[in-house]
Amino acid sequence: MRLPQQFADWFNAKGWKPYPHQQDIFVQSAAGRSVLLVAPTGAGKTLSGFLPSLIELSQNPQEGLHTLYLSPLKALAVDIARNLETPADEMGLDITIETRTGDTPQAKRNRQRAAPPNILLTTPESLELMLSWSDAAKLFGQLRYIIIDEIHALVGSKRGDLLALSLASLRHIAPTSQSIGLSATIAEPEEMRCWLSAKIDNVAIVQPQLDKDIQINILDSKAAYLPWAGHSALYAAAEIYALIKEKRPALIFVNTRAQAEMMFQALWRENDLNLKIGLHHGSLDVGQRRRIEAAMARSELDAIVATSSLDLGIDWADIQLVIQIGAPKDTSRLIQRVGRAGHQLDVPSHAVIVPANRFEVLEALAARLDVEAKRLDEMPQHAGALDVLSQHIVGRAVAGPFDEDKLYAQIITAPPYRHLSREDFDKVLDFVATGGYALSHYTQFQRLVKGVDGFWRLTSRRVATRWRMNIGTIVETSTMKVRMKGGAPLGDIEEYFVQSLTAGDSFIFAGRILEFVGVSAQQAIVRPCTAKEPKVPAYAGGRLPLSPGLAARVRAILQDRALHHYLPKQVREWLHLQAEKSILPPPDKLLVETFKRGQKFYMAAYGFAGRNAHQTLGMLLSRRMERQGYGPLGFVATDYAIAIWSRHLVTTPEALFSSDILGDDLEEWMAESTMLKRSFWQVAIIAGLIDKRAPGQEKTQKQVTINSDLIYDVLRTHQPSHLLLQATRQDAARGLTDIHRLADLLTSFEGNILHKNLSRISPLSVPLLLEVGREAVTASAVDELLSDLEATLLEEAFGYSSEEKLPSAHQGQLL
Amino acid sequence: MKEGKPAIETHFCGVRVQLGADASLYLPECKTLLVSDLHLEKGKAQSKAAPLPRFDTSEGIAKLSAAITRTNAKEVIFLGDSFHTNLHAFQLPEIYRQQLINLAKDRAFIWITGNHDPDLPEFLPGQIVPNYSAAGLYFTHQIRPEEASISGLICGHYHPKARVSLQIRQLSGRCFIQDETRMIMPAFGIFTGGLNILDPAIQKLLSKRQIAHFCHAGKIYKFPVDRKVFLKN
Repeated sequence: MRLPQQFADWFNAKGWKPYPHQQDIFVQSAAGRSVLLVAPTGAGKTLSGFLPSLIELSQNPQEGLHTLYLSPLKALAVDIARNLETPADEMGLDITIETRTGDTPQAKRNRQRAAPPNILLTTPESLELMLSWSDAAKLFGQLRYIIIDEIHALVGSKRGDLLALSLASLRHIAPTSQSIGLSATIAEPEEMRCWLSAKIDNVAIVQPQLDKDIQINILDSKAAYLPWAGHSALYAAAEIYALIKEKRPALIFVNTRAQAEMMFQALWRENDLNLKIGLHHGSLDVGQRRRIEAAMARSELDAIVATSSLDLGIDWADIQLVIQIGAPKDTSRLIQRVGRAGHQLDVPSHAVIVPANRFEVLEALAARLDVEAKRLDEMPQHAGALDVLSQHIVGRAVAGPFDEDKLYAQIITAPPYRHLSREDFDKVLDFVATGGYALSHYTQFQRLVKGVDGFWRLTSRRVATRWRMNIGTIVETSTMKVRMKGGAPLGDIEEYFVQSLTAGDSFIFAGRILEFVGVSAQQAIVRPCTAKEPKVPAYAGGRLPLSPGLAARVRAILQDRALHHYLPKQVREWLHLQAEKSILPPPDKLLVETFKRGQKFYMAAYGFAGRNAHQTLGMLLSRRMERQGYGPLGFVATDYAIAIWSRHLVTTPEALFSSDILGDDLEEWMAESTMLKRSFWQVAIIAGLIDKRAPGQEKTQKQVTINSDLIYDVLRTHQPSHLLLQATRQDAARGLTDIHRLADLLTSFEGNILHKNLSRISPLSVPLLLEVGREAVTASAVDELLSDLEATLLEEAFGYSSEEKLPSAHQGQLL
Repeated sequence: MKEGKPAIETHFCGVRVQLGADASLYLPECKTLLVSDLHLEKGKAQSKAAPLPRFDTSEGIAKLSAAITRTNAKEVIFLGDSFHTNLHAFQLPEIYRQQLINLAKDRAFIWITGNHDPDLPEFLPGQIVPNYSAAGLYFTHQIRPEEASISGLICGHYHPKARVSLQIRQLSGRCFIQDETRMIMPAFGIFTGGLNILDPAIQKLLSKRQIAHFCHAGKIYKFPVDRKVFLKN
């Protein structure tokens, strides 16, 4: 089957030859199949996705919604729409193309509802909203194509959960539709079939064998001193600048916003050629980000320093080099980022990894070896979040009364919810309807009611209004707008950081050194200044932990002497020293070192299970050690290892590391942990228990947090099985606590501990102990600190110890 | 090794007192237990802005019972705002009335009225009074103008709490705050919010030499109020 003449002519006129996979997609769609296209950047994915629609519409011009395109980014939807106009105009096609996002003006939205375009480009949140309209069935009834872009980025997140549920609802009212998913290179494309259709046999996978040549190098720094710890890589700023001079434009990826700001400043200090270097991250003002992106598209910039904010987006002209600052953590993500370089498929992509410390060198080498072996990290598979399901169920009721059995049948077609038990579904439904037992006497939580006809409906229109204002799964921490005195908005900063500033303090943000002037109308006002040591704001948001695949590769590198010659001299020597003074971590045992340092005894365990799992392990071990009288005082966790220090030496670590620590200890700790309160807060907002934005009520984050903390405590004590607690534990297990990974670690090394008791600190533990400022402190350490403080203050203030009497003014009087 | 304790023994205006980390105050010489601002039934208050589950009353009474058992008090004085509102007091469910009556067996209960509960129902065991004295000390809910010059005064109402700065983090907790002649008790209730001790509303009641007894994680610590260590919110 060939492309219609009109299209073949158009390709010819552009001097392009259609890729085989572009033909494939057209052929498969014409045969009535849904398609997953898996390809790296530069493969003409977007045009591929729209070809079936454009062809059909060219042969059958019509009114009404024909194709729906979904993208996780508003900006992407807008850019793609603009790009689509080109072939549509040049071929003289009679097609209407429009976007709808949070930024679309109300008048335009109203008109789109009454007279929809042929092709609508929109976001998952807008789709969920449109599906709640009473005329949704009419709007989407004749839909032919659903195109889901960057689909790999959505799987595994709550946003993806919500999208999956929306798609299940959409396909129900649009039974004649076919789906086209556009994905970057991923490890297991087979897993994604079910996202395109419930009938997975009717889904074709088109994965062109494009051997995009990726060349990854690790910066072999000539710096005298490779840092032991820290993640900023500022030591290499001059060398990074040298790289940009050679190959531009360059994309420089860092892992956090603070790192982006600091590296940006550092590069400008090196900038003797006055290269145009830009900055891009999620806290910058939206207008600023769009300007930078546009400048890059016009090839006006030499380099951009960016966070994952640039992971998704439209293909650009000619990135010559991708620099990954800091360990990549995940090979799939690395490959996707590297793929941004070399827009054409036949041009190799160049990438350089700049490790920020010695351990990261190992990780960088592991990543390079994995990429060369084409080993990709798998996407995390999570069961669909229950708070998201709660939100969606309310949305179904807004659309109209529903039957619970039919709704359950529909929900389990959504991939993240395929294993949802009827029992859990009933629990979620009960929560949505009544708030769950503990809250059931508050009328505002009576959101649904079952009529005599057996159908569930909303208890009032107010529920719909509240729901509409709170759609989405992104719960932001409290931020404050930052504005230049006399004008331009610069972006958003965490509120707590602003609260720590006094007038005159300086900090870096948006690529500038700013002086804090004050707060006015809920905004932080600043002006430029040239302070010597400005503060660097910290941003909320977790860091990606080391993937299991990379962890395994790092362990292998440690053991394989032949690979050591790839390492820089300083790292080789360090490992050699470790082998001499202690031992390199063996592949089949958990290495645990103990040593004394100062007045404290240290225990270091090299689990390579990622930071989150180690952090949890630290909490659990502290509790156990506390009970057993070791007096633990604090611990620090990295992606590779954990170190705990205590008042007494641990002579038999085997007893501490048994997997039963994951039983009662874990339950108890999870019950007390403040980290869970934070998860609960987010869950409560997504599930609609607490409004981020209620009509007429502006709630500060503090008020909302206080309320949710109290509710959490009481639910925990009196109704531990409450749905929201279940959802919170689910979140915690997969996110910050990474329980599964910890469980794997403990069970695989059960009874297999290699204990080295040393007379002094080991070389391998040095980076751990230098993770300054990241220590967690145990309860008994807090007690000790408070008692010490008590003694000190009393001594200073009154010159006596707390056991003596407080001087009294005079006797009380009897009345 | 330094460690905090669940209760601290000290003196206030010449009288021996035991301050508990549970926010209770005990006078061992006359076996009198003082608690303040229980705000029972606050959970039931149908506040749209701040929905709170309704278990605070049973927890509050359980906490009270534990304090009574621990001290074996013969007299219990409630320093006001024992109930969240008058209405809640009068409509106290039967099960809680019975619990209070049981606790009051062989003991004297003294209920001082507060601004949230200026009227109290008769079914409550014990006496209902606007203020009280014992052991040379004077107890009231909120300091009225005519009480301003009384020495050895203990009051409630303000729910004092403090924010303490340690090197590595900041901690928040309820606390007792006093100068040479007056003491303000922390709230005993489960759901009560608090006012920072550095707030002018509290500071204006006290002289310069202040001591705070800070409660955290079941232990209580004694700190002279030092601005470097105590933070405003």
